[in-house]
Amino acid sequence: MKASLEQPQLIEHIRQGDEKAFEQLFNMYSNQLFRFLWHLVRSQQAAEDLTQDIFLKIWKTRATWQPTGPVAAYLFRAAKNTALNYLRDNRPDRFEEVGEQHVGPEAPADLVEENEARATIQRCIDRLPAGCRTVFIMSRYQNARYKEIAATLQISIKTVEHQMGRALRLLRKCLRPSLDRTN
Amino acid sequence: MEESSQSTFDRIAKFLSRKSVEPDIPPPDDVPNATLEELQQIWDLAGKVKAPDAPKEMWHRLQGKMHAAERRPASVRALRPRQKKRPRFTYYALRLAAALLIAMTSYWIVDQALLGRTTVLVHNGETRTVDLPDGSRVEINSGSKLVYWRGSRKVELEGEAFFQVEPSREPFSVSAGEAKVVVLGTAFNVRARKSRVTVVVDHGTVSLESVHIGDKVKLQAGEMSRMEKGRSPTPAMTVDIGRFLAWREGRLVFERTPITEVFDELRRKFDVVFDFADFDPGERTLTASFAPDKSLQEILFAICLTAGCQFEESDGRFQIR
Repeated sequence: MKASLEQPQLIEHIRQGDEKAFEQLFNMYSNQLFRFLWHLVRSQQAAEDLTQDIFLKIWKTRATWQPTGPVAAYLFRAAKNTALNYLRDNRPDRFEEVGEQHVGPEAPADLVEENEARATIQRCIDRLPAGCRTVFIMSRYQNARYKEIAATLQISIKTVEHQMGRALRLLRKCLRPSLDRTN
Repeated sequence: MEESSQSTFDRIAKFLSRKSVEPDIPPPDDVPNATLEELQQIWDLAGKVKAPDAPKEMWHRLQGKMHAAERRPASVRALRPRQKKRPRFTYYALRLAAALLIAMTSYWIVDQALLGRTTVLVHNGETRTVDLPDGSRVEINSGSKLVYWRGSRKVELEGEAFFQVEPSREPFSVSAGEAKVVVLGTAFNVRARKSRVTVVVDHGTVSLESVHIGDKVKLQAGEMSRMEKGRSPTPAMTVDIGRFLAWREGRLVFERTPITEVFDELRRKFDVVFDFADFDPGERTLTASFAPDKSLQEILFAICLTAGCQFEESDGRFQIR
């Protein structure tokens, strides 16, 4: 099969309608995007739909597709916008899914506690304001550097620092009751 | 606990996420250990929320949408507006499985192309639904070809398709090599692969005939008939039509199916290539059914358990030994 293409050539091939090149792009980023979107929208179905929307839009407008800057930044920015639009149009009871759970008829006490802890932190993260949550997710789960986050979201590094601090402060406030319980 | 200032939180956050920023950032020294520990705990706890991986079929589903966006202009011709209807039609589902000589017949290329002829090619790895000029609807399975004409209720099929035919005084016919399926208004499945045509009827009545020999078989709901090349269609048999229509839901159902045919189905459904190194399936058959979400690897694993083979993937091709 064709060898992998470098980014500028990849983009050019996609513009020409090369489906294999497009598939390569998909293979490179779709899983990361999916997981990023999942953190934002907390629904596997929605995460899949939104991931597909992003790629589909690129494919449909491929003839004139010219992302400024690295493709990854373009994709994550698109993902953030798509997710926030989705959340705006779909009210709070959207956060149905809780992350991986250990389940079983006789889950040992500490596992049950862990499940609860996970559910609690998840809810607290979900309650962060949109922009703050996006920054937090990119840092905590995509391991993005502040510089990258700033470039992707087109904000200043100072803002990123501030949003991260805010996230931490709000999470602590949200978790306070639970943390006190375990002390 | 005293309220730390915002900037303190900013600095602590930077420290906690240092792995990605600057690994050598020291912890802020003006923050009490207890606070730092608490926030570290929160940071770690957040890590327990794990996102699932994307489903493997996501690419295939996207492909479907990509192609759908493009097919539409090509496959939906500007056709005659629907005839003024009698009262609302009802679709009957008929399943006709017709075995047909695959690929060898290219007589429609020899025929002069009539005006308003449409050829629908469905590649491996895809399925497609087409609306015909008369209002009938056809779902076409992977690796198939359908030809239809404007102003006519005759179509030609190579491969497999499920027809929902709008009732009309003019009979609707499907030609698959030597086999001809004639219906008045029903839904049915025609499977024309290799040298065998299988027709299964869900509702209504259909007739399956061999155009060379002239023999005809009438099929009612729940009945099936097979026709081998050069032979007459078999007498109607009552079957469980579920497994003949499984493909429409993306399921794979095999019942005493020869292994070579199993691999053909997989090749068409997943659009892959198999190399059979020193594997000779012989007369072995497989009876199994696979849900739509099963990956090719899972299916191959199950098949090889039964058939006694091993598989290895490299670059989109599978070696079976």
